[in-house]
Amino acid sequence: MAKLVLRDCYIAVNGVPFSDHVSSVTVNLSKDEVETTNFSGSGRERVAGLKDDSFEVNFQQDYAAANVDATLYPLYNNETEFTVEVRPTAAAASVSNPKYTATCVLLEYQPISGDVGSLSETSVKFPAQRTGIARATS
Amino acid sequence: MSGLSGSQPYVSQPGYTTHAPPAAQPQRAAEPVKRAYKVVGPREVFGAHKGETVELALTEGEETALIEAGHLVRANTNRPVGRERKGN
Repeated sequence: MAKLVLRDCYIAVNGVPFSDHVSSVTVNLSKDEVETTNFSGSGRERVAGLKDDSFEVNFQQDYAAANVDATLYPLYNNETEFTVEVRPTAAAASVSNPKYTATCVLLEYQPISGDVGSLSETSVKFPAQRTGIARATS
Repeated sequence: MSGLSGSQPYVSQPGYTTHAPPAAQPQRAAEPVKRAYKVVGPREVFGAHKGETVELALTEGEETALIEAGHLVRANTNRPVGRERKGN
């Protein structure tokens, strides 16, 4: 596949697409580092530990009904688990357009953040629960 | 409270720590229930557009959040869709 310029990433939170209100997205795949260094070598040794995946999304804030704030606040306030899905493009998931999905929670949310004269944006981190972020091509 | 042997009563021994019962565990998402919903917000929800009625399998938390946000309302009936009645 050709190199890709991100133009139409698909970002859905609890089944609701927000691509038109998102300016950046990051899929973080991470595992804890568990050190197993021992006397058999001259350097450190480590194995992978628990997953600690997350999505980081920068929303352009919108307080209208059924929009960014109206969607995110109940997820934060009700301590609800929900799905987040991200794809490189809005096309259906495929081998060249994988989708990354996870069951997430919202533990921190800044509904208002910004300087005078700036666009109201809010950066949100969605930590993935239990199984972490899954990659699928269909 | 009876002891482990059954006949002797349980006596707390000096130096033993009495542990509190396990704290309540955080609730995991309940099993999703399939119901009919009408999309009332301007955004599509799970691929359904405004005005459409769609059957979705949502957990209670997901449903509450979508209804509070103004994306969905339950369609006509509160009866779960897709469940067979007893005796059928």
